Amino acid sequence: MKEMLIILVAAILSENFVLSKFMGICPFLGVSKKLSTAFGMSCAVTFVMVLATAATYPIYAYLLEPNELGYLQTIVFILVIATLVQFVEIVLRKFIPPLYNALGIYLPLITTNCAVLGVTILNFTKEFTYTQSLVNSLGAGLGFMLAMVLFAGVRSRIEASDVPKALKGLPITLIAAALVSLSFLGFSNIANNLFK
Amino acid sequence: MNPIVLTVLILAVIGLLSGLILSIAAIVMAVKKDETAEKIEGVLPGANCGSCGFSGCSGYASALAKGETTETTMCSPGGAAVASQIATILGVDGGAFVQRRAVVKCRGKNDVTSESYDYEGMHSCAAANRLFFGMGACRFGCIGFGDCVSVCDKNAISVQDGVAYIDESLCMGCGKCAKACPKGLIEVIAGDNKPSVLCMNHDKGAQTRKVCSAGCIGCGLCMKNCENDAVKVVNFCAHIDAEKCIGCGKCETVCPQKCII
Repeated sequence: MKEMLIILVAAILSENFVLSKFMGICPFLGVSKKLSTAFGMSCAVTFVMVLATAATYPIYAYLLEPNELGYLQTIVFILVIATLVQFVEIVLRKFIPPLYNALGIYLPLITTNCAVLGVTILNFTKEFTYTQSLVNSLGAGLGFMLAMVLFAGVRSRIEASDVPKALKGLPITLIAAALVSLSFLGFSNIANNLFK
Repeated sequence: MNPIVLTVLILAVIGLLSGLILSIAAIVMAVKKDETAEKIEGVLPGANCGSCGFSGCSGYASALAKGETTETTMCSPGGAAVASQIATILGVDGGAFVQRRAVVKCRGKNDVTSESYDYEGMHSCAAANRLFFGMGACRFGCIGFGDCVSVCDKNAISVQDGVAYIDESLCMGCGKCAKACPKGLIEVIAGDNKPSVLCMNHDKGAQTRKVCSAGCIGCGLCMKNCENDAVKVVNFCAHIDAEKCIGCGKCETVCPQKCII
């Protein structure tokens, strides 16, 4: 249990996917203008991350690894995750239209998102078990959500302030992202020491 | 087994399975879409401007297909061509399409009005409006920071001498600017040549004269000279009822302030 908590907290804070691993920067900069869309997008990412890990772990552990085909993981994972997301989209549209309306427009955006692919591959690099992988994916998704929601707040402040003309738009957004990322450095090693 | 063969085999099988699952799922769990709505959406310009009053083009298309509305002429950007195409799809007589355009109901350029204080702050009408209704001497007039300019998709608006100016040849009447104006100065009207009152000052005439020499003073000459009872002066500001107006132009000629154009 303690170990799971450590993995979860580490994935959310100290090893935040966006702010310390720099994955998923595209949605981070693209969809963080409004709090509501940022939240919707991160819900979709969290959902897909956990689902993708649940699906790809067995494929790697029981199909690729025994045959010494570990190097195939990238292409196989992309294939599987893309299929999975499309499938989930079809199922949602048919059976849960409200959820489809909420997440629907974001799902195609994350089919081959690098944060999603990254979390599935990093699970093996860290030699996690199946349960640990799922917890790590959940943490990665929640960390993504935290970063998105925090940054949406920062951006709404930027929109309302008088930015020098040369820095307007993306430049000031990148600077702000860098500062938020720096502040997350303060969380390094927090997970291990928190549960001592 | 030969590792190369195995690699190809595994990838091919996974790819094939994925494709199979998706195509079966797409057939089994297909959601029926309204064909008429899809056709109409194909005809609509896809600007999602909302001038029709529905949530985007797809909202308007499905409302038309379901019969919630029978107005085929509500798409301003599409114009007459789209209106007639929709009418053909639905098999109805759509009626005549009148191109709409936006007008700025203020003529308070820098040479006819003044400022009551120096404004230093966000370059936005909405922000300036919160500080004593903006820095213009007339609290009803155009602030001139161009909140309307930035929302216009067609770049039809520019600020000239402190007042927003709309290029009629570019305006498609979507009404985004009307929503963006914190003073409610912009109105979307039918694009025929009927006159409109280009002032929103509702103060008494003497007060209006103090702040702007081009404002409506509520003298009522236009009302007295209108043969069709189309002009009314309410709260010291004239209004023209577009339905009654025949566009004779008498009010334009009698207006001492020349604010009916």
